[in-house]
Amino acid sequence: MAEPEVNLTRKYDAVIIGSGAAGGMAAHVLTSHGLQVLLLEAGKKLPIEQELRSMEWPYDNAHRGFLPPDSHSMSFNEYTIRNPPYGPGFEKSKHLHSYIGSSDYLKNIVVDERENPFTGTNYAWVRARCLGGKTNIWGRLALRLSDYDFKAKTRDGYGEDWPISYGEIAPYYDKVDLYLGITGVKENLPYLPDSIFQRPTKLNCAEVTLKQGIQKMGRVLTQYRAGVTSDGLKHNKYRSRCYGRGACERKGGCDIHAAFDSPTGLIYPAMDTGNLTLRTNSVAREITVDPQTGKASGVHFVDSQTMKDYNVRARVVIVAASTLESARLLLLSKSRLYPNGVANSSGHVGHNFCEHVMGPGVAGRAKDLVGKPPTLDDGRPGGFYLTRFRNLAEKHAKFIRGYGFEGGSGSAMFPRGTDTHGFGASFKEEVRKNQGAFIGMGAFGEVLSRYENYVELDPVVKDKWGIPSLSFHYKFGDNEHRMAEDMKETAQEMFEAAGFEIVHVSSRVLTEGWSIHELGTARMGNDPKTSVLNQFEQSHDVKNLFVVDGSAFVNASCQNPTWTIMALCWRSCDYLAEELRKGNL
Amino acid sequence: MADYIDQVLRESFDDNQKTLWRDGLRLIDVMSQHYHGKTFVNATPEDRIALLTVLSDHVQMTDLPEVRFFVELKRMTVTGYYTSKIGIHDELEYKGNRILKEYVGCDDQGPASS
Ligand SMILES: Cc1cc2nc3c(=O)[nH]c(=O)nc-3n(C[C@H](O)[C@H](O)[C@H](O)COP(=O)(O)OP(=O)(O)OC[C@H]3O[C@@H](n4cnc5c(N)ncnc54)[C@H](O)[C@@H]3O)c2cc1C
Ligand code: SF4
Repeated sequence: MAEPEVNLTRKYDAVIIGSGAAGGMAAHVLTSHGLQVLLLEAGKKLPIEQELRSMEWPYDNAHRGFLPPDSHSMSFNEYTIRNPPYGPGFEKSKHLHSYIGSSDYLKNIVVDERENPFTGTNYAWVRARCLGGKTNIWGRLALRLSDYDFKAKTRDGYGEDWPISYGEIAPYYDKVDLYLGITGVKENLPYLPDSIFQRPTKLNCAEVTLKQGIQKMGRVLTQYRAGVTSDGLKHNKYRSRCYGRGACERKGGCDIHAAFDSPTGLIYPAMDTGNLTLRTNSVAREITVDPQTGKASGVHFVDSQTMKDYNVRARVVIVAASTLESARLLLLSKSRLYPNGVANSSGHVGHNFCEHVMGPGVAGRAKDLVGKPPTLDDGRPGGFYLTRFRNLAEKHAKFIRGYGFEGGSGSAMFPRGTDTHGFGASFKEEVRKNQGAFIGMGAFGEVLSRYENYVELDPVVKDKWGIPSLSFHYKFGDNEHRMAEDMKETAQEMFEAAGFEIVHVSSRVLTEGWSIHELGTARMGNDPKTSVLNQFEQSHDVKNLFVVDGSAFVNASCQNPTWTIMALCWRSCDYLAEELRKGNL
Repeated sequence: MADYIDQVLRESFDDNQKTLWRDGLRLIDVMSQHYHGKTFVNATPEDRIALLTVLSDHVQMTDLPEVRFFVELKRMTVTGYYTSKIGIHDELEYKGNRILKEYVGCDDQGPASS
């Protein structure tokens, strides 16, 4: 299908590459400043409600909600025994998806690994190529960072501090909260600042037991802080308030858009200003530069369907293709002026790549709930978040930085505990009587930012559009493995403190990439020799080039990144609009 | 249940999975002949349960194709059952997947224990 014609002969004030959390936010902020903006998105505009079908019962789906038989989604074992590119060895499947794409509802959202290959070390790289990117299916845990993260080097000597402090970004977190909606409970924790919360979701009984059980250890469990509007948003006609259908837990998306996604939360309202032009199916392959001025002049892209090439001009170029894709694009943009890729005089593009390590966790049963009549436990956007407790007041002997746990409890449409021993009537009885008593949690920990962990362009392998692929050089280090040991021990110790019967303790570390929180490939900093961007996510080298997604992060912290990506982006785009007005770009 | 498994196998592109089922069904009959002198379908319900119990008690012995078959049979049966109308509504009496005015948490009912 041909793209509706958009005007590519005019010069836009700004062109944005990518329409996820970062690109959507840039579109919102810049159009609200009255700028004329073009948004390029590589993927399609999907009929997203028809894809997600959040309330479809599994028995009404041709494959019970699973992928159709011609498609395969990678398992943990397959990631362990195979190397990228993952296509070879899966010839029988027409489509191959990352581990996340195992449901019928995600098959058109998550990319086909064959069309989008990469090489190098193992990495469970989850990419969503469509309008809105990964925000269509994100987990919605929306957390702030604090000066424990921004000034982590000052605290423990490792890495670099961010060029901003919490005080500078706090007003922008507030703006994101109010514009998009977030639920949660105030806790007054210095290391996990509160947001401006709408009505919180509630804890169920096993979760309350855990909260109380760990209080004496000085540990904090709070309601899932979800990037979901529970009270509704008067200024947004595209999003409903949350009706507790629990679907976001099961399949990954909210078709009434109570959970934030970039199209309904940011892009459609931006289009309503009349200042935004959107072109989907537009795969950016190079940021073009003016050889006279050294400034960015626009974007060279290919139409994903017709394979035709286009150039578009703009006064400012904003890269928001997601951490790894943004790094790839900078590296692809080689010219006589910038032989190592644009914005890369430091040689740091693609480096300092970091994320979160996952895997260790615990599952158990609240004995007093076993055999109780069935309850409704999943009618909410999430269960609980157990906040960081390591390396706050005291230093841990074996590792630096911290981790938190995400978890939940109770009955679900597909019951937990189906790994119970036996079969037949006794098996069913076991599953039935335990379903409401199940509780589980898994950790997310900071992976240290290291120069040695990086991506570069592969000299040979290309994607379906002939664009060089990324090659990964990325591995967890000792600090991560020692932290993972501790995650397992503390998980068990806290379930014991709560009096739960422990069913399973896991120490298995999942494949690199599993957290889907890749960060840091074009970090900010005050020193142009060791950083790519300044504190406004503006290239040190090319003043009219901004990179506004997770690649700007200086470290990963242990909090989920999306709310911070958007707050930083808002701040940077306010600055950008002002600089443009002053004629400084 | 049998319908669901039939559909998955019929549509499957995975020859290994099909082989596992063919070999598995054959080995179960061999086992049944050995223990009870009859094929599995012709054995009494008690004998059939006894045979499945032997397999179920040795699920860690995944080198044996009949054990792998049992694990796979159980996995698919469980998946099929708990995604069916009967499994979700009659067996588990699942209460969610509907529009809620507000989720009722533990605080509303008083803590379960402490
Ligand atoms: C299952 C899942 C659960 C998650 N859970 C959480 C959570 O609980 N909390 C949290 O904070 N985060 C979570 N995340 C991560 C979150 O989705 C990302 O942090 C967020 O979407 C990042 O926004 P982004 O704009 O950088 O990237 P994306 O949302 O990925 O958007 C990037 C967009 O750029 C487009 N693009 C890429 N390359 C090009 C190109 N060359 N030209 C044009 N366009 C291009 C892509 O198609 C895509 O639409 C989760 C993600 C997933 C998949
Ligand atoms: S629980 Fe709320 S946010 Fe999640 S799918 Fe349902 S309505 Fe959407």
